[in-house]
Parts: sequence; structure tokens; C-alpha cells
Amino acid sequence: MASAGSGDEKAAAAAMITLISSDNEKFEVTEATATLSQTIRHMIEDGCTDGGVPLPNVTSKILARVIEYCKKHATAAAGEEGSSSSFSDAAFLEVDRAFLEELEEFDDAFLEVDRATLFDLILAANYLDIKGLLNLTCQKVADSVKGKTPEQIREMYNIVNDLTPEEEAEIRRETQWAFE
Amino acid sequence: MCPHCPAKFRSVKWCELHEDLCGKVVERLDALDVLNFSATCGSWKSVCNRLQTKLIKSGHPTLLSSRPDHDGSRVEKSIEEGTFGLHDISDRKSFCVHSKFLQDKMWIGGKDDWLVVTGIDRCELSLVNLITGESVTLPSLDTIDDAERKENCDLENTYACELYCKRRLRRVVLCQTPSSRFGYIAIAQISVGWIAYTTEWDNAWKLLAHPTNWSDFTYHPFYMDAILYDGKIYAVEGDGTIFAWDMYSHREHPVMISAPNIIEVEEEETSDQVLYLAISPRDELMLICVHGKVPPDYKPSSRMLQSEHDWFEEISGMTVHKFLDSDGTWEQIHNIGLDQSLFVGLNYPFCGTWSGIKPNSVYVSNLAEWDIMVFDMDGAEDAVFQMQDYPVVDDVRLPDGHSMRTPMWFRPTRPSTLL
Repeated sequence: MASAGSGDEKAAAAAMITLISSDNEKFEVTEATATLSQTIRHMIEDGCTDGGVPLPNVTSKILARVIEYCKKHATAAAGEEGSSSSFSDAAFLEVDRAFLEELEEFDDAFLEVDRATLFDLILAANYLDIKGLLNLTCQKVADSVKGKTPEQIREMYNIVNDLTPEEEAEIRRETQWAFE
Repeated sequence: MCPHCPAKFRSVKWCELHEDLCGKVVERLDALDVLNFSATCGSWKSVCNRLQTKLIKSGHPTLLSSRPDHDGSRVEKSIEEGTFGLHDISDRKSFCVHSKFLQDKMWIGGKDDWLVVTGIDRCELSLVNLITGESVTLPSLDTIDDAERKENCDLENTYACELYCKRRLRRVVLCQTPSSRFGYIAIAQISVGWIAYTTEWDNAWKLLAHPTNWSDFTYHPFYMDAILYDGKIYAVEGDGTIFAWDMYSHREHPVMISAPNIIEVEEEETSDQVLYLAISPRDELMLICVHGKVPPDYKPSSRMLQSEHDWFEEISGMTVHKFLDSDGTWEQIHNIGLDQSLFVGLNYPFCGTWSGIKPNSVYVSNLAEWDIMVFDMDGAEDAVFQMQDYPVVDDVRLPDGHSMRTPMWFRPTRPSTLL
């Protein structure tokens, strides 16, 4: 039984999935990495991954980054599963902590991207349904607008103030009291 | 999108970020940041409007307090962190917010969305706008002219006065904010019986003259509230007497106005009152008096900034009088005017009507260690009062009296670039 189980795991680990970006670049990833994406997980479950998974909404540049994220976090997930059985073991906890710190550092470095890439990463994380990546990227945007005025936010995100004169007038009306 | 262009020149339409995704960003922002975020562009504005949950209403009366909590265990930490609570009382929503300006700082006054902020030592004073992040440094109390200082003190007290000045700063009344085109005007209430003011153009605090010659004074006047009305500074003494100084001749003795007839002869040792000055919607000077009982012994307060408003044990009622300019007398009134409600406390008083706010009522913050007390003026000799709990969201609230930051009214403004 035990040997059969480990054999299955080996087979799963060895199973490779091919992801195809919008510009037709192919990426070979392990199933463990690919299934961090709920979208791809469902496709695998439905058995429609033969011949590769086309991802028409994701460019190769962004897909490469997404895969980089998934690889790192798939390892982390595997590590967590492995250590949970020996939860009481202090040495394991120490290793866990070091690993979590490393993961945090990875995430921070991963987010050192320009705003356009950040935007694409949010869209890709949403399309591929990768919860961790979506949380990470949305948090990055939230952190960047904290304590900023609308003008500073517009400048940062290259946003044109498209509020109509009516909308501005409405805001002015609701703030009129402040300048009496 | 041109693949050859460097990434920073590619036009990414952040405004077109899908509503769900935009919502994910909004849910990670605090209520103050959402106000700014929502004024960025049309689509983000409509997302915030649709999500509603965190959008506090511009101009609505909002209560500031310590950070709301289940058991108040993080209250102390909230001073250090600069976190605090924001309670939209018309919508009954509470939020936890953060401002770098309130790290290790407390508010000791405010008007609209501006706060007067100082450290625990009350040495440095500044005005900060919680929404726009603007800040203005106020002059130090050391700028009070030495001659003026001496005139307000008997000789014995000179040293004590200097020392007291900062330590006894009770409140700064912000009469006009830096958003006003005439610049800010602030009044400092110092509990040795001093009152000083400064304006954007002064760069120094000017001490107002004592009501009479110092030698005639057997006690320190104790001013409970001060207000700017018709170019004059009005301050009310603990016994209801009002003094009015002309801002341009502040070293002249003030005009004295006798108290209205509310101040009953104290039948019991323990009866007491607190007084507030305000301006009615019809531009009349009003005196608000809350009566109650104080415990015979000193009762410690949980607030960082202690005041006589904390000490009540029991509140028995409230009266409102308006000043009749024509004959210099007072008249008791039973409505504020135009069905408006009045908001008083540590803040500069303001009136208005809002949905969800009881008309013709006086909303007092920080009274008898209640965070809010509402006095309904309709149809009663003395206004009927009721204690009002915090509005509660997600079961996160602070038990009354647990706020170390003195609960104070605040009015958020949605920023507009065209102003």
C-alpha cells in the first residue's frame, strides 16, 4: 500500500502540463505548479489539458512571471504539508519560519515591477484564479495609494481625471460647508 | 499596446480595472483612503459608490474615538500606532483608520476635517487634515509675549505661569481652518485662566487680557469654552459669565456679559454644570448648559486629555439660551432653528440637517464618560436626553468610557481638485 502510494505521488510530480501564452510560447510546468491556478486545476480535472493549455489572455512575459510565483509557492505548499505531521517538532518549526521569511522576501522582490506589469499580473491572477497572487497584487496597489491624495494617485497610475463637470460640481456641493 | 515600447510608456488603463478587482483593492483600504481613492476618476468613484461599505459621507457628522475593539485591549497600542476609530453615526457604521499624524499624538481640538494635534507633552502643536494629509505647524506657546505674560500674572506666579502654560493647555479651539481663504484662527484654553489666540498671519500666540486688573482678581477665571463670533472672541466662565474681546485690541479688558438665569443657586454640593458656546443657524450666539451631579470625591478618567466634562456621575438635563444683541439679555430657546441639530464637544461647534440625525437635537460628545449624549429639545422644559451607543459594525465597538482619545466630532470631506 505504502509503496503504491508513493508511486502515485511520483507519477503526479512527474506529470507535466504545457501552458501556451497568447503569443504562442510554450511553458512546461509540473502539475503541482499549474494547479495553484484554480482555472487550470478544473481543466485538468475535466481532462482537457492534452496538447497544452492555451491561455489567450496572458502574454509570455506575464506568464513567465506567474509561473515563477507558482513554482515558489507550490514548493511552499508542499513543504507545509510535509511538516504538518511533525508539528510539535521544534526543529521543523524553525525550518518553517525560515522558509516563510524567505517566501515573504520572494513576494516582496516579486512585486518590484512597474505599474503596467502589476496591472497585467492582477488580470492574469484573476483569469487564472490564483488566490494568493491576486491578494498579493491587490495589496500592493492598496499599499501604494494609502495616505495619497487623488492627484498623487492619478499621477502614480497615469489616470486622467475624467470626472465630468457635473460630478465635480456634485463633489463641490457636498464639500461646500467646509469652505464657508 | 506596442511591445517595443518600454513598459512605462505602455498605456495601461487602470481606470478600466474590473469592478470586482477594484473592489479587492478597496477592501484593503481604510475609510479615509477610500475617500481619496473615490475622487480619483469616474470609474473608481462609481465602484466606491456601488460598494458603499467603506465610503463615509462627505460632510456628515462622524465621531472620532480610540480604535474600536472587542474588549479595549488594544486601546493603548492605538496611540502608538496612530490608529483610531471613525463612527458614521447617521449610517451607523464604524471603521478603524490610521494616520501617521496621530502616532504618539492626540487631538485636542478640531473643525471639519482638520484636527489640532499635539504630543503627550503638549509642546508641539500642529493642524492636520486627515483626508488630504496637509499639515500646518502652529506657533509654540513660548511665543506669548513676556510683557503680556507678566501682566496676566501676579509676580509670585511668573515662574509657575511659564511652567503651566504648556502643561495646562486644555484645548485648542479651531475657529477657522487653513482651508478657509482667510487662513486659520485658533484659540488656546490654558487652565491657569489664560486664553490666547493666533492666526495664520501672526506666527505667535497673543494672550487675551484678564477680565479686570489682576490685583482685583482673587481667583483664576476658569474658561469652559471659547468661540469666534462677529470678529470677537467670546469665552464662558465656569459660572456662566461671558467675556468678549475684540481681536484687534486683545490687551484691553473684555466686555462682560452676565450669565442667563439658568445657573441655579447650588442646592447641593454635588450639582454642577458644563457650558458650551455655539452659533445658531440664524447666526445668534447660544449658550448650552448641561446640568448634572458630580461625585463628592475625585473620579479618575480614562481619557488622555482630562476635562471637567468627564466628571459627571449623573446628567439631569440641558438648557439652551440665545443672546439678544439688542438689549444684552438672554432668552431660553427650545429649538436651534431651521430644524437643525447642533454638534458640540472638543470640536468647533457646527449645525446642520442630515438623514439619520434627529432634528432639533444637541449631540454632545464626551460627557460623563459617555462617548455621545443626545439631547432632544422638542417639547420639553429641559431637553430630554438619552445616551447613545456607538453605531456598531461587525460587532467591533469600544465600551463607553474606554476611549483614551477624547471622543470628538469630525466632518470628512471628499477631496475635489477643482476647489
